[in-house]
Amino acid sequence: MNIQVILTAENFAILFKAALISLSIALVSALLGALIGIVIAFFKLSQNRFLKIIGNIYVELIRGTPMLLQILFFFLGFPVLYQMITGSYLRVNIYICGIVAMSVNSGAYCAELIRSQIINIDKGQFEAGKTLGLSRKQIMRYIILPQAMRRLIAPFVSEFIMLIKDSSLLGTIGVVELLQQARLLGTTYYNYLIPLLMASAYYLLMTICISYIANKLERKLTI
Amino acid sequence: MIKALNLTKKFGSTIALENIDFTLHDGEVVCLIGPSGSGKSTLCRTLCGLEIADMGEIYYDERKIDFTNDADSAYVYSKIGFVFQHFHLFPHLTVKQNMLLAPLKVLKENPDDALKKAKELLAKVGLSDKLESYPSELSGGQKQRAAIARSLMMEPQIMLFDEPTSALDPEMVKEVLTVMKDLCDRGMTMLIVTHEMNFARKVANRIVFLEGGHIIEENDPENFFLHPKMPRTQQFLDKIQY
Repeated sequence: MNIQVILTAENFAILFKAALISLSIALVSALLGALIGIVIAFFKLSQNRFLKIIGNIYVELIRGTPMLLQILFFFLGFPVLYQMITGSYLRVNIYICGIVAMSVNSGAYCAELIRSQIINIDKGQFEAGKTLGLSRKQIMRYIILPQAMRRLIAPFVSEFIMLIKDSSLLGTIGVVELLQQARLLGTTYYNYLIPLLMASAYYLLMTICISYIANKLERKLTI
Repeated sequence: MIKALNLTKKFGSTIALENIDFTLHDGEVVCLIGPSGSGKSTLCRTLCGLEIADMGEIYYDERKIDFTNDADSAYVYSKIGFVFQHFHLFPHLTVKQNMLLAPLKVLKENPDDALKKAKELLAKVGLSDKLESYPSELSGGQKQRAAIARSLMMEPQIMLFDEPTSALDPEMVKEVLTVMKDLCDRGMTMLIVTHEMNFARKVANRIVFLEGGHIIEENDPENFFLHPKMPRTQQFLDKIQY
């Protein structure tokens, strides 16, 4: 088969739209994941034993099971659970379902990243704040978190890149993201090679651009 | 005034301080001296709640202090300033922001007044041109002087120094000691953990020699260095003085 038939502007545009879907899902999930991560990180760092246990269970549960399973849980398992509890039928939106699953997943990894950066800040920073009379909350807010945030840029960006790639799992529940779109093109032309290569190009374009921007940002904020 | 009675502090099974009685009177400059591991830093840190004593009592003036109580801690930190061996400036903030943070957030000072005070203090420690610098742009000696200025912003009545020159290159020690000497001359109450014997001899009203978590000798500087009461003190002095 002539590859010119597949390598058309129209097909590039179709895949571009799908790439935007992957990117938006990953972006929203990364933001929600970071929020969940902050909460869970504080649970894990809390003096309260109950909160600590909740934080630990959350992180272990999510990190110990495959992401695909989590996606299928929210798509297939959760509606059943919902029906068992409320008795009414829940119609899930595949996009919302995908974003929820990926945010919940990312939250666990972000929590670990945030926690490790916070505990890695020199104890002396905390002591200096304390002897100046700052309260624990003020020390966190003005001294510890700003420093941790700067160090979190790089790991957060890799987490975001992971999410862009992991969004390809959402094809399983019917989201037409980049990889799923490439497979559909493959089916149309009875040739998977070219669509897969085209999709790879889009993935690389996104991830390399993001790394580049993050590098610039990190250099600007490094002290 | 800080008074400690019967202070004991353990780290695991290691005893860092054992039944220490110690008083720092108002207006006094006391130097804590001793070999490493003697407990001098621990004493300094325990007195202000950076370490929590296992036993014993600590009084600030007549108030008994429980460092697990926020009100007591706030009372202590409104009275003291602490200078660390490794400075602990906040690296993400400029010298100015380092100095203004606590006055603005804790004392709710007027920003203009606080800035004026910051400039005066920086001039006093010889860092007028470093107001907008980040800590990473300063030398060790400059960092320590900035850290001293930062604690003075809170107008403490007592300054505690935990080996303030131990992390410095030799040629930067003097600039920091000069700033400290200046504080002494202005009547600041000071507790100084130090290895700088000549400095201790010059500024201290009293020298406290610790070893193995015990106070071995308390003496005035002249007698401490020339006629120590304890043989162990003499032994220590013989070892460190070339």
